[in-house]
Amino acid sequence: MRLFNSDEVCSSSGETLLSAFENCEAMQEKQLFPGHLEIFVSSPKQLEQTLITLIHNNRISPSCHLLCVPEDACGFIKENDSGLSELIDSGGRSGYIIPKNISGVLNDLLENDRRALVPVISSGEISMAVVSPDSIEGILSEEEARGLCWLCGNVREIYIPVECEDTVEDFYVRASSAKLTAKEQNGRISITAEIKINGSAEKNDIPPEKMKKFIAKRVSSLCSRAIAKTVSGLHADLFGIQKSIDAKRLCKGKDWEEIIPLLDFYYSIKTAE
Amino acid sequence: MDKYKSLGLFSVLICVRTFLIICSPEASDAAHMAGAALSLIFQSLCAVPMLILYKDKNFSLKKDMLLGKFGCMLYALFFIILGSESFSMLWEVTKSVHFPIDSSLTGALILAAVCVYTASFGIKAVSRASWILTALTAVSLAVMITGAVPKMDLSNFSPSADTKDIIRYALRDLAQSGELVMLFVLMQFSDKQRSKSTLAFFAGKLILTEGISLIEITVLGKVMSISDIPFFTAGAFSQPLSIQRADPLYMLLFTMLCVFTATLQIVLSVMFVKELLPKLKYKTLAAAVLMLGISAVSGSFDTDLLPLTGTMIVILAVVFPAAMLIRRKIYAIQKNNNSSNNSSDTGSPDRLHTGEGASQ
Amino acid sequence: MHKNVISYEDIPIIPDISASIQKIKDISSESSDLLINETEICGIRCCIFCCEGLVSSFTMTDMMIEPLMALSLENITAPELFEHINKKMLLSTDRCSVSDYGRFFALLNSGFVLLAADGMNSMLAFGVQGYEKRSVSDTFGENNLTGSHDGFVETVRVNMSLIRRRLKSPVLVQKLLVKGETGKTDICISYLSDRVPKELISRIEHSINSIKLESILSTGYIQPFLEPENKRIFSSAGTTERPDVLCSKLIEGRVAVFVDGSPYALYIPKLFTDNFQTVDDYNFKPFYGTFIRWVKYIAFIIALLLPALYTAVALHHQELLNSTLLLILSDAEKNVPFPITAETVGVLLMYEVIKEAGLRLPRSVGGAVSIVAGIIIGDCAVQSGLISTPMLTVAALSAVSGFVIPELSQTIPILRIILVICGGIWGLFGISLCLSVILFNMCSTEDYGFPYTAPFSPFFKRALGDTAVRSGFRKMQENDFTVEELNG
Repeated sequence: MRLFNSDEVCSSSGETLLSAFENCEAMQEKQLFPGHLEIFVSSPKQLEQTLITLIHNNRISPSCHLLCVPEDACGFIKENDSGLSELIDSGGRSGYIIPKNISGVLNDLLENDRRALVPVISSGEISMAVVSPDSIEGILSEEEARGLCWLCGNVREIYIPVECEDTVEDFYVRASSAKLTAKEQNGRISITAEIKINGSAEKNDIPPEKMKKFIAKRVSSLCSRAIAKTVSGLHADLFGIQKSIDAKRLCKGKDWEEIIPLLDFYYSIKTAE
Repeated sequence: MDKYKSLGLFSVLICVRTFLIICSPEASDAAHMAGAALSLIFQSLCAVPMLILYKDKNFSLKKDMLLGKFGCMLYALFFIILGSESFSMLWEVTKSVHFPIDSSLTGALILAAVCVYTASFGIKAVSRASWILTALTAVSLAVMITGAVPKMDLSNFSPSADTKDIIRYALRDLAQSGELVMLFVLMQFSDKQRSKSTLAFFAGKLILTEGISLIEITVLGKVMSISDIPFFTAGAFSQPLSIQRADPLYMLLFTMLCVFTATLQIVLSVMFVKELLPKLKYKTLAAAVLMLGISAVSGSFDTDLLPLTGTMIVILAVVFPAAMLIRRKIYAIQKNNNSSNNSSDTGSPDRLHTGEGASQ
Repeated sequence: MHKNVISYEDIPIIPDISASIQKIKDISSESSDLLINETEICGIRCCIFCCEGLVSSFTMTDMMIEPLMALSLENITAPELFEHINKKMLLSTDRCSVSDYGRFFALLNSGFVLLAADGMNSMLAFGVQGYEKRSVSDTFGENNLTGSHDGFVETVRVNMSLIRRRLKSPVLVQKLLVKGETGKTDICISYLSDRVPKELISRIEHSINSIKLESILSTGYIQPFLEPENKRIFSSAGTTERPDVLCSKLIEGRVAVFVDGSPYALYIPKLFTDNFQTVDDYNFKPFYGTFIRWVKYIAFIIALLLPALYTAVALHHQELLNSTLLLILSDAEKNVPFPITAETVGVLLMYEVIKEAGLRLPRSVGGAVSIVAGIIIGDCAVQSGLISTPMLTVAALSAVSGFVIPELSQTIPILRIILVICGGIWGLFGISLCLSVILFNMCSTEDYGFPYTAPFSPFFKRALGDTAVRSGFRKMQENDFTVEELNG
């Protein structure tokens, strides 16, 4: 634990999270107040139980950020004792990390698919991972993570490189939004991800209509990778797909695992200046 | 007897209901919301005999009490049990929300001392305080909504519900609706506009129950299932003005409503105890001590008082008013018969004696 | 009746003038300011009594002595002389006959001149008052920007005239009573008879008549008799030193009580919302008046709660702060040697001490108190680390906010300290309990059946136009609201 407004790291161990916390207090000879805990770094083992303990501890802020490390979290903090919060923030600004707080992750883990999306640091690189209550199910590549960000409508105020025939152009995204709708077609469920982008190209060499097509291609590619990895590969429902299916009463009585093979994904990318 | 102004009944009951809602440990869902609405319809029907009774200016709850002193005892006992639940709720909430007190018992003792003092001011002060607490509730909810709106996820709300669950929740809600008995007793203090106040209360209760449930469901999502007191967790999750955790803010509302509810129960129970034991001294203190004792015993033996309170609500708020109404109607019919017999006395003198006997 | 007070009301005037003069000298122990002038009018031995400094010498000479000395009636008896003076000479508009020594001294000490004649068992009294009094001037406590600049003075009759000048209505009743067994103080009950129930007036008179004090030197002496007996935190009788404010209260159907010798008037009933109303509210535009009124409500909350909330949050509920604020507070408080509760109570007590010092000292020294308190104590205490800067800021904000509502200046400091202690021990839970006690106490306060918390609780929509907001006069003139509606 890194103390507030200090470079000092306070470390302690215990059988449970709270006993470790108490030991930490005993070592410091003062009462530690966790209400302003900025970031909680955890290994995936017993993640759900840990988060429940944190939420039940009535003094921790529900907006405390969560970061997962595949191995020993204690050792990781000792080595990387500062700048973690900033790292997540900058990843979020760059459009490949979705900052997650403990309440959000716990909420996702308690959903039917028992999966949640969490920022993760693996081999010194920050990325996103799909976690289950007790383990990391899979770590996403940067491209897949960017696709996730698009699907979550989290991309704004960044430049994205767009391949335009022979060159690569910068496109400035002011804001974006995403909406997933489910529809039944011939016994299958088609999910349409409608992504609206508000932005403009840095140079005006390419006609706007053409540019829109290149952007659509780029974003669709990122999104399909993300879907392929998370939904088809890791069986995670990170975008509330089942909720929208249930709301329309499309697959009555079927659970998430039965729904996955029936899903077809379509992307509708609309760009406006 | 102290009377309070119109709509005072509304504010008193809405404060009691708000207190029950904010410390309810149950997770809300669509079935819960539908059950509450169904229970409310039944409660509205139960209020009809009460309103008819009080429409008659000659009706007095104490004089027309069913089963005489035993009836008074039942009401006194009910309010003491209900008051003990206020203390139990304090104990429950102190486990889930950070209260800077040494122990729950200390908290309950301080609260009891405050309630003994506040109860000494009588029903008029309770009624007046309820207006200010209603305003405080509105402000607190506005703060909560302000913080909660950005965190609301409407997809967390699933409108489907099982009929069995709805009925189960409706019965549970009815068993928790001690306000129905209070409504019957408090109507005697309301000088006018009883129907308007009652209607306003039921409408307010519906809005409050459904509104808070909706906030809890949409803000908490699945976390609600592991939350001890969903209202406080929703309060913690809504973070107005960039504060880290907002639930201590609602501690103000909770504590003041807790004092209010316990005070009301003390005042009402003392009112009936006066009928039973007019010479008893320190009635207020005795009532508070009894409440604390029942709360401590039920807490240590983990007893659920809901079946008991539910049964008592049915007896005191449904059976008693209906029986009193029927009794009064029968008397009225007999009285009419008697007077018509008297008027036709000259024609048939033999029928006079039968009428006389019935009117006694 | 006080056991040491001797009543002279049962002793009739002695017809023998020499014996009567001796009796008066005995009763007054030959007080130096009692002037006894023996003379002869129309051959009858007479005596003129007056109190030095209470009568106007010019008026007395011009209006009384000269006409009496010029009187020449032959073969006249003492009763005939009195009848002649009474019926054919208008020596003063305020005159009466006195038949006992109790009444004699009451009138003598009120600036009357008394005429005794040998053989008469009564005296004639003429009001020729001319004592020194403060002229009508600006108020000391209730300052304003746009209202009138005259305030009540110490003389009850002047105060009565200030009201009469503004309310030239025949329904304005100003009833004089004399209370205080030794002081015999004039007390005036003022009200508009068309809107105040007679029952209320008789109840107020009954309350005043129950006063058995020897003297009534200010409004504070009778205020407890006009308020409910039970211990209440807030006062349900208001005071004002402004005639225009009092007139507005009278128009709302309230009853005013003046005490001779006090430049303040009491009005009954007082509502909690009265603490937040000033004359300026009615001279400003309604939107600004409403804004100022809400500023005052907020100031009340700050004055009462800010130090307690600071203590509770800093000690027990740090999660209610955002990180920046927490950093500022923790930096400031970590070097202070005292616990936060003790620090807060200490600062608030010191503020009360400084306020009291500034109030009691002569004005010329008052400035020095400000310098010592503000610069030396405040600055040095912070610099030496005895008090933290945020704590001092909070205390100062709370104190300044309290100045906005001078009517509650007695209540706020006490409640503020109690709230700080409760907040320090039990955090927001303690504050809530304390607020509950205050709320119930306030809600139970009523004077002659008028709830102190009205029109908010119980709720009266019609009265909100001049409480929650300040409606325009076009709207107000259609809403002939009187406090009588709040009764019950």
